[in-house]
This record gives sequence, C-alpha cells and structure tokens, in this order.
Amino acid sequence: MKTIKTKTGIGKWLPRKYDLQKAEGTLQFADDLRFGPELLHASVVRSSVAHGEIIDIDYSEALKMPGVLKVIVGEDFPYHFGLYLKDRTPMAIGRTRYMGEPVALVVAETEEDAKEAVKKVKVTYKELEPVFDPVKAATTNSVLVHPDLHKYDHVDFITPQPNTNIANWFRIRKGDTEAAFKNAAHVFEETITCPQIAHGFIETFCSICKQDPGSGEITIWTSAQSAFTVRDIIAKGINYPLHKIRVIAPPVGGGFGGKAGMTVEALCLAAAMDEDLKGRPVKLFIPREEVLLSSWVRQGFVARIELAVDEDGLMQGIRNTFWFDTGISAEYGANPVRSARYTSMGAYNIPNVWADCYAVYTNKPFGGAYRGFGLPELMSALEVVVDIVAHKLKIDPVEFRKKNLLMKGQTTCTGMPMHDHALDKIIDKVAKKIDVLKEEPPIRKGWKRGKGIALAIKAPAIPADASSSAIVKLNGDGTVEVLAATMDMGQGTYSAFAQIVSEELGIPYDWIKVYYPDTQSHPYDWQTAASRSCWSMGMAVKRAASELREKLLALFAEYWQTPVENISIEYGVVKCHKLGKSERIDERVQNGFKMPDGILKGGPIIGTGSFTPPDLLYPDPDTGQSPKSVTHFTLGAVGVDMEVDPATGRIIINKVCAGYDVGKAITPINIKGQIEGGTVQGLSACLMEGMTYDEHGKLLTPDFTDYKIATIKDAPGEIDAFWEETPEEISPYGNRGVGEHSMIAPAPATNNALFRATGMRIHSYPLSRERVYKALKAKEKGETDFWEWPYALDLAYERAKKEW
Amino acid sequence: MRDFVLERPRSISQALEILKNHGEKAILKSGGTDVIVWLHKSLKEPDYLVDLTAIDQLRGIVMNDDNVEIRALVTLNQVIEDNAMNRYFPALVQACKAHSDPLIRNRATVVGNICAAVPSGDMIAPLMCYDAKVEIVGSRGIRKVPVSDFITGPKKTSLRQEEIVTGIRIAIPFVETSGCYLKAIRREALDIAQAAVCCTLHKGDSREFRIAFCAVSPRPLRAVEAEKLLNSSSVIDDSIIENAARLAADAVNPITDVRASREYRIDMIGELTKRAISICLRGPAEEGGPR
Repeated sequence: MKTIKTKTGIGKWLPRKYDLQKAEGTLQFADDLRFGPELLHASVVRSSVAHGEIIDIDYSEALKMPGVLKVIVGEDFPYHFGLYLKDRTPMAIGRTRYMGEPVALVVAETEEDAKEAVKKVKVTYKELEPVFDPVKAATTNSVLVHPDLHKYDHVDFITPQPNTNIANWFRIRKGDTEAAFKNAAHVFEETITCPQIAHGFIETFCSICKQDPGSGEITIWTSAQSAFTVRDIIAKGINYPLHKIRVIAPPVGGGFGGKAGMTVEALCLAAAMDEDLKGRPVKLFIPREEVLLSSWVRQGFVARIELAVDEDGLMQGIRNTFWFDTGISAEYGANPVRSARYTSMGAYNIPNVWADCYAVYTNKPFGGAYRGFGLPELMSALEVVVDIVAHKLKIDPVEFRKKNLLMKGQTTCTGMPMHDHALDKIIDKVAKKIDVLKEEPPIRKGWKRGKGIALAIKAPAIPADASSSAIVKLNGDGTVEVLAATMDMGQGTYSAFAQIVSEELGIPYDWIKVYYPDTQSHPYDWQTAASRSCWSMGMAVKRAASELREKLLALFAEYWQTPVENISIEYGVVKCHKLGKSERIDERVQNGFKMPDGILKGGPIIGTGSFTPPDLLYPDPDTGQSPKSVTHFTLGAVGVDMEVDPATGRIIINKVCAGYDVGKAITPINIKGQIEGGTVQGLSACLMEGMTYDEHGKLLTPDFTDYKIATIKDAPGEIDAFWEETPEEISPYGNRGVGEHSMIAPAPATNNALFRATGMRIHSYPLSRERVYKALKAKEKGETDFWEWPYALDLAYERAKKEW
Repeated sequence: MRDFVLERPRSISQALEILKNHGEKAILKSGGTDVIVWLHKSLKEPDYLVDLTAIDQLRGIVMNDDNVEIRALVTLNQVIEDNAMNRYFPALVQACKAHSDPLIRNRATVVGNICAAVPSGDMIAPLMCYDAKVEIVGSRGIRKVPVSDFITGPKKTSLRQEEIVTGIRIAIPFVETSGCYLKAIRREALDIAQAAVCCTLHKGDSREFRIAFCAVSPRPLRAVEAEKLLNSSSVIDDSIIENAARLAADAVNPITDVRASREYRIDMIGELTKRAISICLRGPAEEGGPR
C-alpha cells in the first residue's frame, strides 16, 4: 500500500514544466546548439522535375565556390531507410520522384557558402510522366512511382503490392456485407476528399551529425519526437550497431507527428559519414520554404463510403474504400492507413464491415504521421456521411448517432469487443451545451447560422510490442530526476510525469525534473506518438517511481526499526507518526543509512520501470480480424455553432463544445490545452489548409505566405472543453490518450453545421471561403452537393471498382 | 543570403551619394519587411544595402496648411495611431489595419508598400482615392508623381536608379469625409488580399465618391465608371449601388493564382464595392464592417 501525501499529484492544475524557460527564451533548441569552428554546413540541391531520370549532376562549378568542401550525391550514400517500409533514400538515386526531392548535398564551411554553391549545381533530367492523383495512381498504374517496390524490406504487418502504386493494402472483412446491403432498407453512397496538409510547426528541421573517425561512433543532435526511433531507423538503414549511434533530442518546437520518425537525419549523416569530412560535425538546417519538401505531410485522402441501414435506422453494413495519397514514400505513411482501417466503423456498432484501405504512391512530397493519424481524414468523411444519412432518413443527427453507438461489449470492425466508455453521455452534453437541434437566428446581419455535431474515435496505431521504460533517480537533497525518453514538444508530458512521480513518491512537483531525451542516458522508448505517452510511458514512470518508493521505505523501516507500513512520505518528508519521527530526505539516499547495528546500508536509490502492451494480437491479413487489435479507444464528440456569409463564403465559428472520455485527467491543464489546441488545428484544416500544386507538380504553397493556418483571430469565440473519466483497465491511473483526438471531429462538425446553415453539402476539404462561395452559388442553381476534385469523379468510380 | 555591405546614411544627400556611387549594386531598405525576405530568398542580391532608417529627415507625419506628408519611414502603426490620419484619411487607416499583423505593422512603412508595387499592396488603393503624390528626390532635384503614375506594373515603378522616395503628400479634405477599405482574405488576419476595395466619400458642396481596387489589376485602378454613376446620381438607392458595384466588377482584370480565382476576385470586387459604398454613406464613424 502506498502511504504518501502530496498536493501536486495526478489531477492537479499546476504550472507546466519548461514553460518558464520557453517564455524567457533560454531553452535551447537544436539550432541554438553551438559546435565551434569545426562545424560544417550542408545545403540541399532539390529536383526541379516531379518525375525524371537523372542524366547528369554537374557540380564542378559549385566546388570552385568559396568555402565548399564537398558535393555528395545519392549514389554516395545508397541506403534505404524507413520505419515500416524501406522505400526512402536520403537523396534521389538515378530517378527523382517529386519536385523538391534532394538530389545532391553541398557541404561548406558556412551556411551561406553552402547555399550559394547550391545555385551552381546543374542537374540534367530526362523527364518521365508523373502521376499526382491517388485514385488514378492506384487504379491505372500507368506510371509506377516505385518500380522496385518488390525489393524493399518491410515489417510483416505492411502489405505492399509489387508492380502497382499500392504501398500498403489493408482489408477488413467482417460479417456478410453483401447480404447486409442486399437486405437493407436504405443504401447510401458518398465520396469525400481531403488534400495533403502540413503540420505548420514553428521550429523547422535541424540536425547535426558527427562521426568519430576512430571509434566510428555517431552522434546525432536533432529536432525529433522519437530519439530511439531515429536511432533504430538509421541503424537498420546503414546496418550499424545500435550502441555506436547516440541520438540527442533537444527540446522540439512543435511536432504534431511531423517529427515522429526519421526526418532529415540520414541526409545530414550522408555528409558526416563522408570519408573526406568525417570527424567534423555537419549541420543541416532546413529553412521554412523547404520544410514541406523535406519530410512528410498529412496524406491526401479520398474516401468512398457506402452505408446500409435497416428500417429501424440501425446501421447494418458499411463498405469503405480509402485511398491515402502517400506521395513518394510510405515508410511511415503506411501506418495511418492501418490506423484508419482499425476504425473504419467509426464510433458505430456495424455488424458487417468491408473495407479496403490503400496507401498510394504519387509524385508528390510524402505523407506520414500527423496528429490524428488517419482519423481526422476518415472522420471528416464518415461523420459527414452519417449526417447525410440521418438527414435523408429524417432522423435527428443526435438520435441517429446515439442509436447506432458502439457500446461496451459490441465488436469493432476487427471483431474486438469495445470497452466501457461514456460517449453517450458526452453526446448528450455536447448536444445540450450548444443546443444542437435548435435553429437560432444568425448573430451577423445577412449571414446564415447552423449547428453540427460529429464524433471522434481513435486508438493508438502502435506495433503490438511498442514499449516504454523509465528511470527515476533520487538525489541527496530529496529532489528527483526522471529519465523518460518521451519528447515534450508542447503537449506537456513532462508535467504529467512529474505529477505521476509526485503521486507515487509524495515529493512535491517542483522538486521533480524530467530531462529531454538522449539515447545514451535514457532507457528505451518506442516513440512519442499515438497519444500513448501518458499511458505507456506513464505506466513505466509509475512503476519506476513505485519501485523507488518501496526501496526508500524499506531503508527507513530498518533505520527506524519499525514495520514499513508505519512509514509515509508526506510533502517530501519521511514520517513515522507512530514513533513521532519526521526526517528530510538527505545524502543518506546516496551513500547509505547507518543502521542501528552500525552497518551502512542502501546507497544510491534508483527506480526503474518498463511497459509493453500485454495482449495485442496482429489482425489476420485477409480479414483484418483480431480479438485485441488495439489497446483501447478514446472517444468523444464535438458540437459546432457557426455562421457563414453567403456573399463571400466567410465562416465564423461562434462556439465549439468538445468532450472526450479521457479515463483519468492526470494533468487537467494539458488536457484542456490539448482539446483547445486540437480544436483550433482541426478547424484550421477544415477551413483553410491544403497543399496546392501546379500541373507540373510544383508546390504552390511552400511557406506561410500561401500555406495558411488559423491565427488566434480564426479561433472560435468560445471553446467549451470537458471530459469524462471512465477508467481504462490496463493503464497507470485509468487514463487514455487525448492529444490527437481533439483534432478529429471539429472539421466534420463544422461541415455538418454548414449544411444546417445552407442546405449545401461540400464533399471536398478545405471549406475555404472561395469554395464555400462557389458551393452556395451552385446551390442557387439547384445543386445540393459540391465537389472539387481534379480527377474526374466518374472515372474514379469506374476504375475503383476494378481490380488492379 | 549573399554577403553585402550595409550602408546607414544620416542624411538624404548622403544616401543619394551612396546610390550614385554604386548604381545598380545598391538597393534601399526602410522597414525591411519586404527587402529582408527578398534577400533571404535570393530574389535580390545587392552588393550594398542602403538602410534609410537613420535619416531623421525621413521621419514623421507632417501636417501642413492644406496637406499632409507621410514621410518614408512612417510605419503603418504610426498612421493607425495618428489622430489627424484617423480624422481625414479613415480609408488609409483601415488599409493599414487590414495589412499583415501588429508586429509587422510596427516595421512596415506606407512608402515601402508603394515602392514594392505589388498589385496586392494595401496602401495603393487608399492613396489612389486620396489622390496622393509620391515625392521623389534625385541628383536632378525633386519631382512629384501621382501614385497612379508611380506604379507602372507589377513590382515596377517609375523610380529611377539614383532616386529615393522621401514621402507621400495628400491634400487635406476640408469637408466631412468618410471612407473604408474592405479586403477579401483567406483567414481573419495576416493575409495578402485576394481582392480589396477602397471607397472614400467627400461631402462638400457636391458629394464625391472615389473607389479604387487592390489585387485585381497590374496597375493601380480607379473605378471611373462606378464613380461617375454615383457622383451623378442625386439619390443613391440600392439599385444605384448594385449598378455601381457591377461597373466596378466590370472594370477589373484579375488573374487566377493560388490565392484566388479570377472569377472569385471579380465577384468579391462587386460585393465589397456594394458594402463599401453603403458604409461610406452611413457616415464617418463606421469602422470597416465585415471584411
């Protein structure tokens, strides 16, 4: 039994760790680190064609430029990298696959020298036909982005289809969908599209790599969410021992999934491992204009959804085809596809499910992890389709959702029973808080007002063995150091870990420090991703802190000659009320206690803990069925009250109400922050975000001049964030993740509200002002639905139905 | 960014001397909100960057008997905070507020916006409505050019190599006046105009409307036909406003790009013109209204 007292344990509202240093500007990010005059700088030569054979790279003029030491090309570093599928080389080798792909790296004494020399590198291409649309790429295979797909290594649970553009194909075959559709009273079919979008983090990519010429040991300082995954991917990519690679991850200035795996590290390493350069650190800083070309973005998405509903309004079957536009690499992007597949029933109890999810290569910058991991795209489609069906069946959208809700014990699309949750209660609260069914007059003259609701659901899409471990150390003054290789990139996990340690040790929050990751000092953690940290690493930290507490109490028990049950730790002080003893934690926890018999016992007190999900089973590849495909789901609902100016298409969000079942709120300040932040990010994706290309594949929105994300003035007038706490069984305190989930439902809820306001359904995101305006013009001509999708819909429908 | 020599002249004559010595190798900088970005992106690669911010003669909004001078170093925030500017030139103040965000407005200058001469420059339309004159000094002396002649095309001006714009001069309207600047953008703040309309109304002996546009033509443009209709109508009712808006939309010739299509821009010109006229008619106190 734990016998502690603390005022700063779980559930308390406390100032967040490192916020002060961030406000003061003293926290050092990767770009702030100094390496002295030894440091070299690399700059990237990028492809000017979307698809082409590289005929020649002439860098003779670049080498003549001042300060230039070396120009490196793809063949010089011919390794394939990838988390799930090794389809990526740091530089193009022989063939370039998107406009902006690195084709050479110039290394020079200064960043300016390197940049100037980049302009002198001449690359000759033989242009090949590119393919940009995922449905066209998947269904015609007229252009193969990766003709060598069959040669690439991949993990077991990824299923690339050689000689196609399909990097991954996931299936769900649950029940008898054909019969369900045949017997259904109502059948609906809809298509919805989302563009690629960018994370928009403030800190751009930055890596510094160095190889010791003697030992061959490599050190990498990098802006990364997951230090150990960077180490793993690089070790596997260059076939190098893990212990010879050290990854140090300084504080990250925003990640949102964009720094979850390996980003530009291998590219930088190509220079640092070069025979002529090694021994000197090499820095690769990616300027804003190159960020979207340097790592993944959220995948484009095309969803075709068919829903079969019986006479009582119960969903009987769903048939989904999802095309994720993964650009030129699916090394990470193969997995959001899996994530969406697990959840292709949404938050609904649908007995018969048939789903095909594809990750499709195109000649565009590559797709991968982004907050929500496949679910914002999927639910932006599915929750609108559900709304359409409810409207057509003349059932109110709240009632239709509630009567079909996936409740405890009913099975998900993978056949796994759903755990307990409070989504029905959350839906009721959201509906009540924004009075979702009540039509109200617009606040602004001439505008139209509407309200909408949408549900959110997501599970961590982790490999079955994704593990965490932590070390908690007690200092000789009673303060505590926590080594947990989670990256706190603003989501606030270090505050959560400190509160967990305070809860377990009875030591005040302010005495607890959590350090940024370094693979040399920290024990292993799989990734900071999947909203898993407070749950998975939380478990490891809790276990480590408990172990430390038990060790400390045992020593005091012997020291005071009293049973351990009589001892407590209260606000950082060790007490035995029975004996009237009260002592501070001091140097004895480092060098031992002098026990009554005169012998010194103890020594440095360290607690360790680790966690691996105990019971996950990979689904059957043909049917997607598994009794425990995911650890748990976090569910929630979002209500939006908005209005639109029909004469300009401008949308203003009056109010958002968002509630999630978080199991247990460890750090309420973070949960509120995550819900508010995710809501605004979700609205931003809904209303304005999208990567746009010209017909040659040139990105027209490379920086914030034309890639627009929401400003504070675009945030809703009010965000009513709340949560319920239905405990999770396997979890440190019953808590579940919520970091990503808040981004899932704001877009479909807004889209549904727009329909209530105007009677128009827009099937293509974003709901930009111009698009809304155009849609409402189409409405005047009698249209009820509006698409804007470059690849002709009818063609897509026809081809999609064929086998490739 | 390529290396360059930073020159910080203390006087206009020193600045002119530097320009004379270095010719095309030198470029001018005041607020730097455009120039620094150009340098970063290697769009300009000067050998000499002539920073004008140490020249006291270029500072300040100066009220004269019948005109006001906005000198070259006057920032958008200084215009926004100036009482006389708010009183006499509300449309210019609104255009300043519609530009970028408060931080950038602390650096960006009115003159710089004109000199960048991009069609989406927010200062251009109000200065067209107020009939502003650009004051230029060079080795051959001073010349004054109307804004409409100063900007000769996208990113092109009639400024010569060895000249500096010292300021902008606008006649003070000694009549009751109202004005507004309405901007179509992709989000609530910090965007380049998809299209914008500036409308001013002077209520002297005769009522005079002036309307100008932003981001819908290669050179600055006044809505001559729409103005004619409004200024010749004794009563301005909804149908006159509708017709004026249609004439305005007919007058523009925008492009399609990543920010907006030609069609949307034309429609927004019509809509915003309608709103702008109504706002001006409602009086001087009106603050912008819906953008």
